Amino acid sequence: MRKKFVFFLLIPLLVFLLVVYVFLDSWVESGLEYAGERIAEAKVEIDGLHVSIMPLGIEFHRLQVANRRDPWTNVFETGLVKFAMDFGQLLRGKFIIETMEINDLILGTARTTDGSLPPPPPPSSAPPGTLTGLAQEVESDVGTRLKESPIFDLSRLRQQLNIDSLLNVRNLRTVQHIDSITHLTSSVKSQWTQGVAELEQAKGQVVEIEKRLRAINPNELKTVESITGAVTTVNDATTAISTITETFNARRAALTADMQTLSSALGSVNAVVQQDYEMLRSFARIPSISMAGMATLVMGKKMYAEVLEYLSWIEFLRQKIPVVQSKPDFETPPRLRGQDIRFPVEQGYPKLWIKKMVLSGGTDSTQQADYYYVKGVIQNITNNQRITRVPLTADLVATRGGSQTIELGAVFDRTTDIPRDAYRASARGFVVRSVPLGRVDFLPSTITEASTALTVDVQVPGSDLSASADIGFRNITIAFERDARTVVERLVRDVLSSIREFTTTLRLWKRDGRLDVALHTDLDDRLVEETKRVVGAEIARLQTELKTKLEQRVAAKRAEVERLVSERLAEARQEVAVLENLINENRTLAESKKKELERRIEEEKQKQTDEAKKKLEDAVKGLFKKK
Amino acid sequence: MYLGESCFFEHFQGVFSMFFLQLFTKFLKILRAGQTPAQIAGGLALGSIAGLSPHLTLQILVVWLVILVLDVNLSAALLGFVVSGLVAFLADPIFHWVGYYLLVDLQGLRGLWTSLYNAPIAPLTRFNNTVVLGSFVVALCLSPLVYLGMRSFVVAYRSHIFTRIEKMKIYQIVRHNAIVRWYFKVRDLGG
Repeated sequence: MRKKFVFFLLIPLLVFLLVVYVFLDSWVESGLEYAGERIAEAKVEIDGLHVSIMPLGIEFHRLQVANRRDPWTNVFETGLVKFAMDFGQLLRGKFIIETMEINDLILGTARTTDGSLPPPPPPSSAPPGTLTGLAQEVESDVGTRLKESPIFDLSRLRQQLNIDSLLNVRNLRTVQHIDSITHLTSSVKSQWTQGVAELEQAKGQVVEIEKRLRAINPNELKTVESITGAVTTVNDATTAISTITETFNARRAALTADMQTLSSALGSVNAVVQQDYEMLRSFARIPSISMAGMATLVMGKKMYAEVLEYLSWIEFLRQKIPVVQSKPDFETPPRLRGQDIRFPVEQGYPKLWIKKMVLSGGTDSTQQADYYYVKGVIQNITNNQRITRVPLTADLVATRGGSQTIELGAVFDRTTDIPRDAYRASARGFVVRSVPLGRVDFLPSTITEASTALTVDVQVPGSDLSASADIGFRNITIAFERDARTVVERLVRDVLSSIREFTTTLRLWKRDGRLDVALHTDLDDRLVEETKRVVGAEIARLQTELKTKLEQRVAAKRAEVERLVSERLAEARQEVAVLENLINENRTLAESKKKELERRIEEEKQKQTDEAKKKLEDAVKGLFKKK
Repeated sequence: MYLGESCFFEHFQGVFSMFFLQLFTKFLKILRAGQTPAQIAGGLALGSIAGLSPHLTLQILVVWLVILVLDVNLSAALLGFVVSGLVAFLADPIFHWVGYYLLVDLQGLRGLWTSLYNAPIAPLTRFNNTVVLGSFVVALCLSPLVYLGMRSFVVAYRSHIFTRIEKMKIYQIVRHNAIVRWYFKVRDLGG
């Protein structure tokens, strides 16, 4: 036993504890800032942090979290924040907080310094269940739809629409379809030629058989042997006719199939012409009479921008709240690092669990006279919901001026293999100003004032998405940026000027990897009614013109192929009919000869029987005479 | 700046080499006489256990405490620590595999690991890290062999191996070399 060892151990230990005591606050502050920056992907700053030992807890006077999308503003900043930790669990490296109190939370405050961080390296693969690139997907899908909205300026449409250039033969499927029918007809024709040659050969055989049959005259046949020989000839002829009939039937079936193929190909020409027409109408951007795109055109831009903003936050939260895998894979860590294996925790705690976070605050009152006051509770913030077995929930209520209220709720469920998120929000009593409508080339306008009521419901189970938002506008005042340039603009403007309220519904859903967006306003019906009345006739005329020209363009080819096909069909039918008649005649002839021969055989048999009888009678008579 | 760094590393290298030379010399001295073979072998075996672990964990602290509290040879412990540290670097994939096998593949031990995982102090041992567990288990398995082997070697060294070495020509040449004699003189100045 070494006695000096006691001093050797104790003195460094005391020094270590002293150093820890002196620097603990700054170490914890740095650690929390670092961890926060990794989560927020922007600067996180904590001021005046103090760690108390008995009871073990932390409090700080200010926390700023920069907005990663706008680094010169904070997502939020707080006043005094304090919380106590479970010392027993902290010994095991777990941060368990019963209640965290956050005072004077202020959203969207301006920063004096840049809050951005250097960009992190891109992740090699997305974790399971993440909605990777949802915002980009929506941007691509909806953006394209907005750009492709039909042109409603009829005069411009009329100027730009060159129907002859649209009717490029190479683009028309009808022409290609008719060409393919022509090729098919040629192919069938060559098969028919071969078939007809076979039929001609068969015809020769039938004629030969007919000659042989006609050569038989049953009345001239005197002996049984000659009759039997004739019967054999008839039987051979019958067998030959049967063989020819089988060949003929097979050939006729093939010809019938070819005829049906050609007939159906001809029948489908109309459908292909219709498809061509739809394609050309789309190229020409002639709007449909139903005017279903009007909602997208009038409200799309604004809603689209809002959707993109919120989806990016949904995607961010989806990635940040961790999914826990049940079985570890064999990894190859760096040398001397090893791999940590997690085991089921019985009545255990996750690494971090803030059971309840009570917060109060609002938007920046120094920047906004009519600022929001927010209060609410966030429960069960943790890094592993499999252990806590409860989802993260947030319930917040924001009020402004006593009349305006926003209620926000969210559930982030990671307790099962499939992550599920749900958001709900409702707002009422809000007055909106400067809501842009239309777009640069169609009715640019702004809702200068309106009171709104909003309800949003978003469900994100796994990699699917289902979202709906209803926005009701009341007491609307609309300012138009310029005079109406087209008939449709004038109509829409008249309708918009006359209305005092309308509702817009946005639905966005993603199922089995397919994303769909639907935007609807009750403006549609009114707009359609007015627009149909005026522009319906003009659009219908354009459509008719396009269709007529298309049909003219394909008519010649169509007539040619129809003539060709009908000729081939008639030719084939004629050949088949001739041979069929010949075969039938010969079959009848063979049967009649056969019957005659059978009759002759019967007669001959009778004759011979009579002769034998007579001979016998004569013999008997002679016998009696001798006696 | 570069020159300064270079000088620093050269100086550090010199100090490091000197430390090892001294450590090795002391060890050779102890091999000849002084502490018992059991103390030397115990020091080496315990130092090897500490050296094979890549992290400072609770069990390694305990091993160091045992080294310091028990009157085992510290030079041997340090030598064992350094040499097994090098071995640990080379054998890391084996330790990782052993650890993974024990923690994940061996279903019979799953209950034990789960109990330990839920115990209050056990997580400080970081037993659920593959390399920590693998290296510790291998070290525990090898330590009796190291102890017994080293003890036998010290006994044999003191009884006849050193005598044989002393009779070797190469030893005579090195021993009577002027530089070596000077080194021994300098070394023994401090008593």
